[in-house]
Amino acid sequence: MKKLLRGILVTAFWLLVWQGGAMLVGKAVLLPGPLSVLKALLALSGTWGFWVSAANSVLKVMAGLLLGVAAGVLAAAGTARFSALRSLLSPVMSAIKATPVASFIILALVWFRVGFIPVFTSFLIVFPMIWANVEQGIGGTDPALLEMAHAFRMPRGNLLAKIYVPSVKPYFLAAVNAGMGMAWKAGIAAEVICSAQSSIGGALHDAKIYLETENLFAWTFTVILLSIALEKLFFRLAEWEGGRRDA
Amino acid sequence: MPEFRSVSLSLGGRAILERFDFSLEEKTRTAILGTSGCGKTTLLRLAAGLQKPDSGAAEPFSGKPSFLFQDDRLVPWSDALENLTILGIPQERAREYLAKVGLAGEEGKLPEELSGGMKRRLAVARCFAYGGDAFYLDEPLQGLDLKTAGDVLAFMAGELSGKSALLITHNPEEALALADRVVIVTGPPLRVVSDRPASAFEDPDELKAALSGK
Repeated sequence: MKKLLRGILVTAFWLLVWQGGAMLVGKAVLLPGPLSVLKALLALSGTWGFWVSAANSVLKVMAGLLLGVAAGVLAAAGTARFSALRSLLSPVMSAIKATPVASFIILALVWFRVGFIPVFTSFLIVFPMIWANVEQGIGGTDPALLEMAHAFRMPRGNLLAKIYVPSVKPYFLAAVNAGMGMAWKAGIAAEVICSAQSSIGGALHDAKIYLETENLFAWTFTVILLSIALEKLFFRLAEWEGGRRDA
Repeated sequence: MPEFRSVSLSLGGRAILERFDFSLEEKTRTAILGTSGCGKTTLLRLAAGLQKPDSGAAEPFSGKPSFLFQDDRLVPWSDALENLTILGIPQERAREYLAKVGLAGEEGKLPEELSGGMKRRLAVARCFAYGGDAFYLDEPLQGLDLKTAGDVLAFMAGELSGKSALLITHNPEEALALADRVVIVTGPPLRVVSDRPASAFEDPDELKAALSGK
């Protein structure tokens, strides 16, 4: 209860600061106040296009995330097993990690049609992260347990499901959680740069062009809210999966 | 024939075995006694094929091997029952062996919810429920209180009868209760000080005396 009250007070404080700032600046085009942003958000959420854009962006980023997770896990399994494959892949992963997101996006503009660019960008962000973490998790599997499993000739399916998967799971979940946040931001950035139709990033781009600063803020809020919602959903899924295993 | 032929092994720059020759017999239970750090566990690991020698050859017992590790090696996120079934042991047999070591009713507990002695008994149950023809046992009664140690010892004696076994211990009672042959070693590098049938010892005190070199 005390925590809730404090939360409300903190929120109110920053809203007041924002409102004060907006009044001080005095130009809605530079810094709109919280009320006008809320009005813009309400107006936007009453339109069909808002929901289509939001769903479109979420789906594309999720698609990139899922592809990145799948590829990262497969690559990690491969490189943990074959060190030659690790030597082969490591420089590629380092290169991907070191490349600025904007470079990928512009490259993708050359290579793909616009609709696929957010998927590709999210994928490239997530892939090396999942790979590095899952590989670390596989490498961190207790050698004493592995020797036990080997000595008792544990069935392969059990070795995978009951030894490796539980060992890797914390690394995997941490990587997916971090990867999701980054993929989401990178995906939106990609949409902005390629001004994708019917997408959050495209709408942000348009708001900038037409100097609709209220809309710019409203869409940014949407991005933040969706990001929080996705994170919550992910933790629910992870917990539900954990609870199911314990049952 | 299970044996060590001129086996050498160094670990961390230290010679644990140097051209070590030793023979084991099938269907015989051999206890290896010695002070801690003399290389007994390494001997067991080499005999079981868990460790490759630097040179020479260590031939294991024939048949399916089963293990009792000194450090239990239970799967931490699997409950007591699953720690057995994970190896392909059928549920019914797993329950039966858990009951035999006094863990009936604890099937659903994770290793971290069990006491040290219960964990040891779980490892013992796994080793014998797995079955097999050759047993490699490293300090089987470690961490058990006197009363439980007696029960587990009687259980193991029954399970081991007619099987091949290599047993590492520093406990004379355990050695005489479980083994046909008693080998005292020292080291490193490991060497055999005494090698006699268990029947050569009148009682554990005699073996204790032999162990302390008197």
